[in-house]
Amino acid sequence: MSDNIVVLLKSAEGCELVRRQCAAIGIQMHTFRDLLDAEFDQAGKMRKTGLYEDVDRIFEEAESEGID
Amino acid sequence: MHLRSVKLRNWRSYRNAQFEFPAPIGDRNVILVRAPNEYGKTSFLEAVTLGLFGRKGLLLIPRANHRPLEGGAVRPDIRYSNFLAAVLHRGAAALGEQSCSVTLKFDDDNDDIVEIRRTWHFNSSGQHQPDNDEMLVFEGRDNRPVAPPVAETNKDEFYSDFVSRRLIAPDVAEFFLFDGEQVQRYADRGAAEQVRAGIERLLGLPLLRHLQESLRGYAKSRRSKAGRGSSKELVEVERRIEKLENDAQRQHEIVEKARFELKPLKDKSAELSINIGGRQGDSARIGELVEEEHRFRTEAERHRDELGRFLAEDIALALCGVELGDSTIARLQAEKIRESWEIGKRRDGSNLGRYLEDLASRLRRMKPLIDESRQEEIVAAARDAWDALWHPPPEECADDYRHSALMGRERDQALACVEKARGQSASRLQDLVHRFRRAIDVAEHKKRERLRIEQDTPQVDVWVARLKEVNEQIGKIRGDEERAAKAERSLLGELNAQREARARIVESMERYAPYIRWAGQAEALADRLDEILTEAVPSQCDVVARAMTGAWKSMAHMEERIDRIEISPDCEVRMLNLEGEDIHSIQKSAGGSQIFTQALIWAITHVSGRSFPFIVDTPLARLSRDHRLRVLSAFPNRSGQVVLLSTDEEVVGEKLDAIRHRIAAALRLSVEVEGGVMVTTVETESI
Repeated sequence: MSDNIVVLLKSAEGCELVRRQCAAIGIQMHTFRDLLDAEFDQAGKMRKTGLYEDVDRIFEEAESEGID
Repeated sequence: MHLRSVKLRNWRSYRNAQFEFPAPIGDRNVILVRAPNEYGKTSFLEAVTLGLFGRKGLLLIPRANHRPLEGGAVRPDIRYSNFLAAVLHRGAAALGEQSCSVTLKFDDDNDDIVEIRRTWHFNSSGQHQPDNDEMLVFEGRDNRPVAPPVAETNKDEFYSDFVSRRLIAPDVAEFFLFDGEQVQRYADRGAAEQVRAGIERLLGLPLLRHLQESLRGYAKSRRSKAGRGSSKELVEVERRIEKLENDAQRQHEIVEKARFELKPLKDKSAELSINIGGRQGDSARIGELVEEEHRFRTEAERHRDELGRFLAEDIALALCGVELGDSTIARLQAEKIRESWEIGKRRDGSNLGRYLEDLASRLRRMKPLIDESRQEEIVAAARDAWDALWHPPPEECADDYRHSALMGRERDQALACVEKARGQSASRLQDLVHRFRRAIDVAEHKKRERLRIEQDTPQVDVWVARLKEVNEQIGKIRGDEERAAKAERSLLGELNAQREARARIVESMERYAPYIRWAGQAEALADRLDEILTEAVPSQCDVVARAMTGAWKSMAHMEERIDRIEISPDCEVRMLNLEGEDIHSIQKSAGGSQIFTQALIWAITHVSGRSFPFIVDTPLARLSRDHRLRVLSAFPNRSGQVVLLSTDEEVVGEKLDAIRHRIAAALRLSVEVEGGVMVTTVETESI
């Protein structure tokens, strides 16, 4: 979904830029996209209720995959 | 892509309104909607925005009072539900209707129909019920419902994605759905900031900024949550534990050393006590002997003094014996009597002459007269009578003086001496000597006995002194041991407390370790997002600059002054003439900044490649006449539909003429008052 929101990710160059920066800190693209989706889900809210728990879950899942 | 229709039910002043927009045909791509202010133009724009994006559309609505955040992100300053509470048509509730809806129907780029129907529900008090929000999506000529997969738990996310993919992404939508106020807000920023914001929205980067802000907040929150288990605190507790362990060890060593030293001392003390205890009888006997020896020596001294005094007296008288003493005393007494007799006789003899003369005188005067011879005889008889008084001398009177040197007081002293000496005797002397010798002998005996005992037990005193010394040492060492043991107990107590604290911290760290780790990842990613944002923007600078140049030339007055617009990688804008000179002052004028922003908006929509309808609400208010014409003429110059919401006075006359050939349809909003409530209706207008 995030590709449709962050147009940058639709281009190969933009995708490579993000992938390179994420790889430098050991974060996979799908984790980054999950984080973007979680953030997008909060858009328009005065308070981002539940976002931090979503971030916990995303990082935990990334670790459990043994990828990040 | 174009908007086919918009249906509004109970949306602000719209009770039931249907907007029908014909598809662009050739150059006719403009839908002109005209109405006086307060008739519902802005409400229409908000309906389309919230119809598309729901809650997320709030960020695109100026009336939601956006609150800027660090890093350029914004948040609405009003709750979605509060905003919607003002949306429900005031007459609807009175009629028992507690919902409003927006239905948007598009023809997408594939000429396929996409219909979005969003309904908001309210309770009887007019409060929005967010859990009851509905969104229905249909696509295709046969009106097929678009529903999220069964596994999709987040329907909002699904529909947001659908809208972004099929129609327009929310970030870039700001350049397709805007009003004059929004243009002015952009124009109020510096050129570089406008361009950066524009390019970021073009690329959908605001979501990255929001994510960046959220990740930093997340990291702070998780670090705060795990604050008690921080490694810094663990290091501090470890340091305290190490110090306490060292201190306790030192005190323990003092205790051990004391116990090590006490063992032989206690043994020695016990040994000395046994030795001394075994010899206590001898010791007592020695004491007694010393005492007795002392007593006898004192007695001997007393006898010696007495003997000395005795010897200092007339030892000869004492030694002459009792008889000689008695006879001497008797002789001296007799001589003393004689001396008294002679003294008396001599004193009387001195008065005898005066007595005899007085007697002779008296005899001579006697009558009858006594003859002289007789008188002499009488005087002689008186003399003889006096003499008879003193003779013979007393019987005890000595005949003479053998001790003529001892007369008067000397004799009395001699008598006292002899009397005293008569009380002494050789036996007395012998007795004194005997007593003296006996006391000396006994004292010597006691001494010899003591010496003999002492020779057998010479160490008792040393032992006692040693025992005293040893016991003092034991006392001192025990004091040291007790103090050290007490300090050790105290330190061990504190040590246990610190170890428990460490265990808690470690447990906490173990529990919160993932959060700390994730906080670090979140911060690292937030920092990387800075890099991404910095690197991403320049990629679009040239293409946006070219598009802006074209837009500027079509919109700006005296456009020939500008040859081209350049945007540097850091978004600094240069407006260059043919000579390559920066005529930045143009952009700084009020009209210039408006045109600059309009050109940027046009450029962003153009570069985005999106054919989404361009829905603009009264964009010309702040422009000069000449600029209005040029901007108005420029707006339709795009491939997609343009919905121009205008006041009834804004696009008239020459301005209307300028776009008349681009108008596909014209609508007019009218307002009627029903039951004291405004109701907006839509009518087709003939241009």
